[in-house]
This record gives sequence, C-alpha cells and structure tokens, in this order.
Amino acid sequence: MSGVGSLRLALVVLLGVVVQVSILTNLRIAGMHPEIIWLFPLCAGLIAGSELGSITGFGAGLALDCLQPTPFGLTALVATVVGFFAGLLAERSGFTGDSSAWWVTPGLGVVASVSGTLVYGLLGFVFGEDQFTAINYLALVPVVAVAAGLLAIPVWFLVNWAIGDATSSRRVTTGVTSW
Amino acid sequence: MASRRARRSITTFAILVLVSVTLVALSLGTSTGITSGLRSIGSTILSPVVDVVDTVTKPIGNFFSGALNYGSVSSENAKLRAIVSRQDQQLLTDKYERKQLAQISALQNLGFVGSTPMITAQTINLDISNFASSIQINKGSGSGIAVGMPVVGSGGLVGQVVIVNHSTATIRLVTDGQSKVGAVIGTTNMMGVISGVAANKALSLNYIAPNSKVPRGTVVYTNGLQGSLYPAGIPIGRVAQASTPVNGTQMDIDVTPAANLNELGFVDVLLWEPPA
Repeated sequence: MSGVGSLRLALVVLLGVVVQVSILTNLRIAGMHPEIIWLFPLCAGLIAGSELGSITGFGAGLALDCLQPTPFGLTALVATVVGFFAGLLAERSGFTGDSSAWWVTPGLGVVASVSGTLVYGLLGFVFGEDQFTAINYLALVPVVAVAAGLLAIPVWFLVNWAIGDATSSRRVTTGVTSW
Repeated sequence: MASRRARRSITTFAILVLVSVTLVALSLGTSTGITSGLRSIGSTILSPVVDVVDTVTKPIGNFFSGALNYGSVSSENAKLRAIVSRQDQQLLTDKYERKQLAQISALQNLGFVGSTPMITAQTINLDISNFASSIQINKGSGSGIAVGMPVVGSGGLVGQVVIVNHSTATIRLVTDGQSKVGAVIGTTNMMGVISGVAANKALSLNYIAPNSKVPRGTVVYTNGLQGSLYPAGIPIGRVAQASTPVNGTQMDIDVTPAANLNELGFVDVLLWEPPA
C-alpha cells in the first residue's frame, strides 16, 4: 500500500475512534452504546487481505485502548484477530464487496461486531476482569448488531477509499489453507 | 510468492497478537507503569481531536434532546432554579461551619479532611466503555491532576484517576471490577479490601475474619495503610449486609457506596499521591 493510502487509512481509523468515543458513547439504549470499532479491521481485511486487516485492527484497537479505562491492549488484541480472520475469509473465498449481494457486507459487519464484542468480554474474563461477566449482554448484543448493520456499508466505502490501490494486490491469494 | 505473502501475513498477525497480549498482561492490576505511560501519550495525542468533535456535536445532540423533551426541560429548569436559591442560602451557613470544621480537623489531625488540596471538576462523559464503570472530567494534567489521585464527591469516595491528558481525565469508579480499596470498618481495627463488582451493584468487602461483629449501616472508610492508594478516612460506603458462609474463611460483606455514583455532576480530585 502506498504512503498516501496508509495515511488515508490512518485518518479513517482515527475518525472511527473519535466517532466511537465522542458521538456513539452518548447514544445509549438500555444503558449500552454501539461499538463500531470492529468494522474497520473487518473492512480492511475483506478489501486488502489478512495482513492489512490485522494491522488496521491493531492500530484501531490500540487507539481506542488509549481512551478507555479497560485493560490496555485488549481491544487491539481482539480487533487484530477480527481483521486477520476477515482477510483470511476474503482470501480463501474470493469475496469482493463490489460483486456480492448488498446485504453481505452488513451481514458480515453484524457477525464480526457481535463476535468481537463477545470475544472481548470472554478474553477480559480470562485475563481476570470478573466484572465482564456482569455486563448485560442481552442488551449490548442487539445494540452492537443494529449499529454494525447500519454502519457497515459507510465504513466499507471509507476504508475502500482509503486503501484504494491495495485492493488489487489482495487478489493474489495468499494460499493459506490450513486454518 | 503467494506462500511468502501468507508467511508474512501470519508472522505479522502473530507479532501483533503477542504485543497485544504483553500489553494486556502489563496493564492488569496497576494504574501506573509502562502501559499507563503509553496510554497517556496516546490519550494526549487523540484527546484534542475528540474534544473538538465533542464540542461540535454535543450542542447539536443537546438541541435535539432539548427539542424533543421541551416540557420536561422547562420544569427541570424551574426545579433547578429553586434548588440554586436554596443552596445560595445554605452556602452562607456552610462557610461558617466549614471554617469551624477546618479548625477542629487541624486540632484532631484527621488525615485528609480539610488539609488535602483538591480541584473541583465537572463530569463531561459517563461510561466511555460498555465494559467499565468510569466518568470523564473536564480537568487534566494542566490543572495538576495525575494518574492515581483519589476522587471524592457526592458524599464519599468516587474512584481514582486512571487516564489523564492536558485537559481531561478519566476516573475509574469504585464500582468497577478493577477497583480495589484498602478499607477499615467504622472505628474498629477490622481491615479488609473493598472490590468493585459492576456498575450499580454493591461493593464487596473481603478479608474480614469469619463471624466478626459487623453491624448493618456501619460506615467503611479508606484505611490509609502504608502503600495504600488512598489517604485514610474517606468514607467508601455503608455495610448493607454481612454474613459468614458455612465453612467460610472470610465474611461475605456487601457495601453500598457512600457517594451517589449516578449523580456525579461535579467531583473533587484530591491532589494526593501515595507516598513513594
């Protein structure tokens, strides 16, 4: 990816983090707010492959970790995993956002965001954060899912614009078959 | 070429996972150290952008919120005016009483009361994460606030500063699962550790010997022992229930926070840091 593309992607991710912390934090439904951070590594992975997906996830997660009083690095860890597996899915299935049905990207956004949130809660518990089991997931999951479904396509366009020239490079399959 | 790309991709993934896990491990159980430093740097870089967006978007959000709830906003304003006028009157009385209290505190050497400098700050955000009980305030390192400082308000201990940048700070509330406070029960010598459980849930007081006499309603204070993260004598909460489980090695004690954590419009940050 070119330097300009990297800069654009960094700006898009920064925009996502800022929107998450300043706007979505105040949008509370049943005491929970949407979490859109997982959409960025998902889209980067689907567009440009597992490597850029995991790097985008790590960057976005770490930026968010700087602003939240949760274990530092946990969002980065989960977002890295989301980006990597999204990229792997795209590489192995030949998925392209342009040629697939309109609902595929929002659908994947919902799956990735809900999975990311649940894995985040589970890993937090594994790392000793007992209060993560006390979260009202029955309220959190629908809020996260609806927001992801609505925002997946705008985020896709933003990330696609940012990555731009890297889209074609992902078409060379990585040939990963043993995951 | 494809396999080289695959190897590179997997190597990058493995390195990033390893770095993330290391950061998580380093950050657990401490609000200071290397991860705190990294967090402060990141927060200092990102916060100005967040502040600008907040400044722009909040009035828009408030406008729509106000327009949709005009009736309740009007009646709330009337109520608030009445409260302000009552408090003006109370303030005059309080000034005299505060002077007396300061004199008594000085005479009795009562720890932090009246002697620790503090900064009053306004709450600007609640629960930045779905997974943590926290608030954000409108004062930061520019006002002398540092990571680790205790925060009080609304009748008792509120929490501790965990993230700070120039103009804002994030407070971990006592109800958060990562919060641990050394405590003493009332005027006894029974000491334990109060842990947060989750937002809007009672605190848990641990390490009290089985079958100790702990009356309901007793106030629990910070103990201020050597190495403690808080000065002595700050009310944390009141005992809500205390019992000893069968064959238990410690009592099972629930404590209701003294501070009303659902109404934290303003808080006081104590400019106090644990002795090195």
